[in-house]
Amino acid sequence: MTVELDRLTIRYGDHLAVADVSVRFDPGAVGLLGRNGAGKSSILKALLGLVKPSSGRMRILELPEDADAATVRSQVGYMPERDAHLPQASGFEMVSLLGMLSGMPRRDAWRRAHEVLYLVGLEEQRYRPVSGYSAGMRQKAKLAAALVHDPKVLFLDEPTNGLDPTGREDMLRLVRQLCRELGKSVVLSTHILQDVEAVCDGVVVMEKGRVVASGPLHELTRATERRVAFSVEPSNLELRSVLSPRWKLRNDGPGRYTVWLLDDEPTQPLFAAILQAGGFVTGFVPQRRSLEEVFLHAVQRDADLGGADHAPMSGTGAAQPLGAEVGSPTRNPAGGQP
Amino acid sequence: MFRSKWGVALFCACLLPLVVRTFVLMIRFGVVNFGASPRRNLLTQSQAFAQWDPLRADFYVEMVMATWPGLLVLVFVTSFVSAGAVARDRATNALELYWTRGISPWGYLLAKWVGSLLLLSLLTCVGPLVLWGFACLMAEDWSLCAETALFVVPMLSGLLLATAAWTAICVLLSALSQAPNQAIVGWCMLVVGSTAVGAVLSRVFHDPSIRTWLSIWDAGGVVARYMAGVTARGPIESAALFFGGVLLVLLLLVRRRLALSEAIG
Repeated sequence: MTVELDRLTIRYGDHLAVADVSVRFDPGAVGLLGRNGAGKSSILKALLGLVKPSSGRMRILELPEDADAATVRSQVGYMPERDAHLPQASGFEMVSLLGMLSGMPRRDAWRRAHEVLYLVGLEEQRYRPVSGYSAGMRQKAKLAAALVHDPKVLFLDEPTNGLDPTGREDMLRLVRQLCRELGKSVVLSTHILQDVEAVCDGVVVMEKGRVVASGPLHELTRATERRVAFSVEPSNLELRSVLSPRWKLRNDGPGRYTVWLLDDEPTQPLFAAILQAGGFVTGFVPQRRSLEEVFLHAVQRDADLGGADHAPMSGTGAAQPLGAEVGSPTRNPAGGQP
Repeated sequence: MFRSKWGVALFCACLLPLVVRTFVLMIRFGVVNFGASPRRNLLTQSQAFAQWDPLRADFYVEMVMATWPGLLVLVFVTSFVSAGAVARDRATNALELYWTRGISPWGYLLAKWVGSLLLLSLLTCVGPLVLWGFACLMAEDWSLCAETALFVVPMLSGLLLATAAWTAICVLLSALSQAPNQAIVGWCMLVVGSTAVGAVLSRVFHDPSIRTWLSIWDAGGVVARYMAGVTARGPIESAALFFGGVLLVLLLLVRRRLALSEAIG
């Protein structure tokens, strides 16, 4: 277990930012997904001890619930969403100072700063002022600062914010490397679905301060209805007239189709009908749902329920109360232990 | 301050009063001798030269507390060092980086204040101490050292107290500001403006003590002069109350401003 939230509620005055959230993050990379204002950053800030929850309990790693904020922060690295750097400091100065503020002896902090700056690819620019860095380099410097004290868990708040496609791919590669090669557990807070799909084993979808879906990514994206993409030869074969009208068919291009089958319906009639029409199947791929579909479905369902129900979504393992483990340790070479 | 050439240049410029008074000491003790020229007589027999007596505490205190150039030194150095200290960190979101480490907002503020105090003290406390050391070494015997040693410790304590109050107000003002420039302009206006208003009103009402109720600069001067045993322009009580009131108000405002959730957005 990396993080466990039990009926966590956070209020800012009259505004309810996080409402009665119970969820558990397993080791590995877990995406905390939601629109702006969904409550993602509030949860991270509460975990870091920057915001006091109105009610509920939180646990990080195996630390006791009443562990003080300093102990928690020694185990956790945080990369803030906003651009943040120390004025006039070089990359090396910034990272080593933040290491010292985390309780590291000066020499260890210096050595470690060199290591993490090398890891994130800033070894050539480490003595340049951070204020002169590009957006991608600044994001990397923030990641290095989050890593300097060798935390077991990393909270990354919108790590690809403001990056161009190359910079974004670089950052995601780094996050993957941290999880899979260095055995860090990562909580990736973002509203970019592709980032979660590219990096994470599990996902928690938040909407209006509540968890509306959560679970391992491969389970969430498993299709709840049978959908098959296939291609046929000849490509000009007219299929609509020969296929059963109970099958919903979509033409995706010359000779390419997607068909929605009924539950438990065998695919043999489909093949037979195509053969009968004088064609043959050259490709056949059962489809998975995209994370975007999962997200939109979860949000829509939450809206349909009036935003007050925490019932699990059918087939998604969503909104499971405490005990719903998110993320899969199978992709963590360290056996799930950071 | 010492990271940029402008900062080093400014610090060197602020050492000019020390250099000038050291030169006066050298003339007085004959280390520098112009001979029997009329120019020397003009200088040594002037009233200003007579007042610059290394046996008196005001020789050292006034090096810092004379409105010219002391006020300029205070404004320049604090603007460069203290006024932007917290506001600069807020503008670059460095506060978020600090507070997710093992440092508390009040610990951070204390560190900023101590850093500013140490730097400004190089000019306001170490400067007079060095001047006194030069005087002792240049004198013919140790009598000057023996005669003046009694007022040195209270004098330095007074200067340190005034410097501490100034830097605390400046750092707290910086913590209230959103941007470094806002903090610097606000601080300069507060120091120079309050000094000007105090000077005008004290002339209008023919009461010099009004300054200590209105001016940050003059209140510091009263504290330092009182501690050093030099005639002050106003009562120490009013200066203490003024500093206490200003610091209390600023602390209450900063407490709200530095509330964690608010400060990190």
